Amino acid sequence: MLRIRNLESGYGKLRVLRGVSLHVNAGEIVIIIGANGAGKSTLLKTVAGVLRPRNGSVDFLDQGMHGQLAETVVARGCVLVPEGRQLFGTLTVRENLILGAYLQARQARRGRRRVLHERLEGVYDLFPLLKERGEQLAGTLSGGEQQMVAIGRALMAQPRLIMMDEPSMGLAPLVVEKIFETIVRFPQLGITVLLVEQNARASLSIASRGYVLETGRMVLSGTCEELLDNHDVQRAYLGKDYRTIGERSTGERSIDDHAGKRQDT
Amino acid sequence: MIWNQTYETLSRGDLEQLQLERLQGTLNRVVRYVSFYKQSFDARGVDVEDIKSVEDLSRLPFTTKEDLRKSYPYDMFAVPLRDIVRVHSTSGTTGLPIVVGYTKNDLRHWTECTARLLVAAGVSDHDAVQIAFPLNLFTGGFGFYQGAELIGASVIPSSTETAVRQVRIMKDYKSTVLVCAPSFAVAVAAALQEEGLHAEALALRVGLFGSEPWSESLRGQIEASLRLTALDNYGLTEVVGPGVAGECGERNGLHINEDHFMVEIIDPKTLEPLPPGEEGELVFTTITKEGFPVIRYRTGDLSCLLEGPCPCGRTLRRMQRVSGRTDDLIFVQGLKILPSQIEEILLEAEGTAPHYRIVLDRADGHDTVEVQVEVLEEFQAIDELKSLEKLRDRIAGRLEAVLGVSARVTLVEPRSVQRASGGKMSRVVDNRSR
Repeated sequence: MLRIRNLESGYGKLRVLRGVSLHVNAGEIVIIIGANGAGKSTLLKTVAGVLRPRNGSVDFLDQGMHGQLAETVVARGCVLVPEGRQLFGTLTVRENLILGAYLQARQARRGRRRVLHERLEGVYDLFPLLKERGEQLAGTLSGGEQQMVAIGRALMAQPRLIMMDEPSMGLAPLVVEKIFETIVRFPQLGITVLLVEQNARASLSIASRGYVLETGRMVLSGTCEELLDNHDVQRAYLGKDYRTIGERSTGERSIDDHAGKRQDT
Repeated sequence: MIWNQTYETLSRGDLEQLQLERLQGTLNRVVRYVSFYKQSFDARGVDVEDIKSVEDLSRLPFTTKEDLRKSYPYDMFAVPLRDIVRVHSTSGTTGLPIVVGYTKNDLRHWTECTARLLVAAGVSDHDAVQIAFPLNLFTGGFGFYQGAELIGASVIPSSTETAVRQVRIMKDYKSTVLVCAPSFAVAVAAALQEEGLHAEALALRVGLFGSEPWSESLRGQIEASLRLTALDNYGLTEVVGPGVAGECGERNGLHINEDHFMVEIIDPKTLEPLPPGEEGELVFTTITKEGFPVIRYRTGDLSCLLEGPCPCGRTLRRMQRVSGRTDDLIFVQGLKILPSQIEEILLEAEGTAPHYRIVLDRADGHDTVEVQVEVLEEFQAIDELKSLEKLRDRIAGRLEAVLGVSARVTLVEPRSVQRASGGKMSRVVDNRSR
């Protein structure tokens, strides 16, 4: 569905992505993990058309999409749930949601109301809470509820692919669980998911495959099972204590040497 | 049957995308964690960021057996030793052994690869798979053991039992699949005869033979004597072990597990990549290995890539059965020996000229080696039978002690061994495949 090759992107003189390749098949939940500053958000923004790529290609549904305008990308069925929700706090929940279907609603000359109504009902099915809060100002919602609105707004565009930038950020574990429970259902609704997360443990449990991004480069890819078994992933993202290998190196010079080299490089 | 329908039948476009992603990830890791690759790429002015397609692979420098030897034992590992869960090594008959480490994921992928070979050969969970490869540092035994277990077959790790014991196990345990080296299959067939048994007394139906090159005529011979379908498979410890490639029931080449290993064929002299259909040296790049990745590893094995789809449905590219070596490596008595190693021993022995011939043959299912070497004209004891016998025994003893090969040494008249006339003369005569 999505095929990215050698994507390079950045801000001004700053080169962030240094040739990233990845793919997402229809019906998959694919996760990108990486530390702060690895280029995860830059990657999503570049695919979404918010940033212009400097090099490389992005194919969506077998057609080139790199360098296209953000609204074209949305119109083609690829939407971004940005980091930090980015809601209009002074608008109601319902108004925020309707904005997600702005493009399509503008294009549909007749039956606009009916289309909007159907899509709103769809979102309310997924997040019943939003129906209750429909007339409340978005700015007064809790973080978790705001995230639901942000996801709901993206769904209003009826995407084929939804890209999410750290939906768990700043949320309580229980709320994260709820959000992830919803994301797991997306493939059944015909929506493919590309997820960027720092919360590696939780997100690896719901994804089918994953990539590890480090300083703008892809260093690892595989099924979630494989990533969870990789010691680098365990050390860097799952909080497994990186004890120095010296602790078991008494009398084993080669092990010590080897570990030393590894840490220096 | 296909073990992994998704990955064994990918479209070329999807496969190349996958290969590119995995190749880039591997390169990003090796330049960071393996100083050899960092230096080797820097020396050639290659920036891994310039590798933007699978074709760009050819811009990277080669890795040779010598390079791997220099890193003995652990310098080629791309992870610290604590991440390694298994170690295997090459036999080290031609020099220092090459030590290979596997992470948990490496074992997972390797197991998947041998499972694919077994399933492609028609093996299923209904089979009893007798694995007559040693379960030791050598990769053959463990590689197949894991794969056979994964597909749910009954594994019989008969390992290093003698040929006669193998036959008894085979008969009593009703093994349906035999996995071993082709030369050992010949020994098993001979043992069968020795025991006064006929192949019909066995339940064997499939044999997976590999770890040394073998001819079509030997295939016919094994199939007739053991009454089974004999299939070829290919692999080497430096790349992973068995599981790099294997024949399917069509027997028109070996499907390479390209989602784990990228293949190239190069001209061993010019080192330029060769198009499909042309014979050259096999070069492999691992793209999923974590512990011991190799980039453009020159195998020394000669083969060519085959074009066109395979009726079995797999889209993985095929290579022809390995036809020989770029060097003169001899596969004999389960050992790998270079003629130069024999030459060295001959030169050490006083009284022999550096003119020799190595004749390989097979008797009663066992490889025989005859080393014919010229006696120096100026050898003072040339007329003394006793000293000649001594010389002969001394050489045979050295061959056994240094190389582990039991050879018959024949001393011949000065200038009786054919000299090279212009072109390269092979010092090895192999009568085994006749």
